[in-house]
Amino acid sequence: MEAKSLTIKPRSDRGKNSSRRLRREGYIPGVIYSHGEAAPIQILNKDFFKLFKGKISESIIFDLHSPTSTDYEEKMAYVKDYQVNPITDEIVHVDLFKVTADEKIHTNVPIQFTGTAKGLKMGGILEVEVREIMVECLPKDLPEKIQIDVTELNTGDSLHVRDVNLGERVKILSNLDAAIAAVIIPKIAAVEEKVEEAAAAVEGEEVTEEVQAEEKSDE
Amino acid sequence: MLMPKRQKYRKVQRGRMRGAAYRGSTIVFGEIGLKSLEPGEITARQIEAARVAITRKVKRGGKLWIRIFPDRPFTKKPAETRMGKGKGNPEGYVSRIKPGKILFEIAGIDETLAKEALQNAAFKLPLKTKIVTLSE
Repeated sequence: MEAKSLTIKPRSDRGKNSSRRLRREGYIPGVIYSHGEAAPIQILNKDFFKLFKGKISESIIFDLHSPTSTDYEEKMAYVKDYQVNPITDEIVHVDLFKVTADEKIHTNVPIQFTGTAKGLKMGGILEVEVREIMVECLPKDLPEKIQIDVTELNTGDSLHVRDVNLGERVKILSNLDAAIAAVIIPKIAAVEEKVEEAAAAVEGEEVTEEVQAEEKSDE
Repeated sequence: MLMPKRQKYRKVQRGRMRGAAYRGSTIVFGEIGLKSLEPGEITARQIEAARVAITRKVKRGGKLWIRIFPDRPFTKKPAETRMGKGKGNPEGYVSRIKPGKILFEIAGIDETLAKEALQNAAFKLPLKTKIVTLSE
């Protein structure tokens, strides 16, 4: 795993006014904590996005660096939680969790699917049920992503959490019986198609969408 | 059209809509979705029109999730009626939408086609929307 680092600054002002001011200046207000100790911090928006490249992951452990404080030297952390503005998708607040090298952590690791399932050629679609798996491990053993090959999945087949092998050092905490992904035949689309065909047969080819919608409502 | 199976009260008061949608503001089921950018009401008829627009564009394959449900009755007074004499009769159902709400989600089809389908659906809706994808 390549070394990643994030520059953080301690934050003295609290409250929504100062947080809004920070956001205007290009910072993300945040907090760093572990073992009951918490400290407010601020992170430069640009640095944060450079580290995560658009997709924030809880499975990326990075070194902390602070130009103004020596408290964070040789410390590591990961993103425990974050808040997003639902309209603009901007990061509003970040929670960092400080980790030590010899202490096990609980975190979610994203799943990345590889290959094209066999069932897709037969008209099926890959329905993803679980996108992250919760694991327990030491920071050095934490995988950034779990790659799952779906090539062998036919229609009606599914992959479960128990099928994932992460080695002895990584313990899976998610429900082992949960389905990760399945190749299904979309039933709803088939029914809708029949309804549309029936409507078209009654009204001819030049039926407006509004008319069809009304017909379906009557049904 | 979507409508509740049963309801407790026939008519509801208008109320106010404030704030953003924190629940239902992320893509959960599909890979690409349509997000509202302003508050408003979407009628069951508009949801149906948007759904038809999507299925027509997609034609075959893929799966669609409708993340909103018109559970709120709206009333209308008959034409050429004087004001007063009580609240009008229930005419249909609407879904109240806050900005940030994911309205539709699609999975299992090409991204370009999905975007076109969602754009067609957006034309049927009375709100400003944007297309959002599950970022990799």
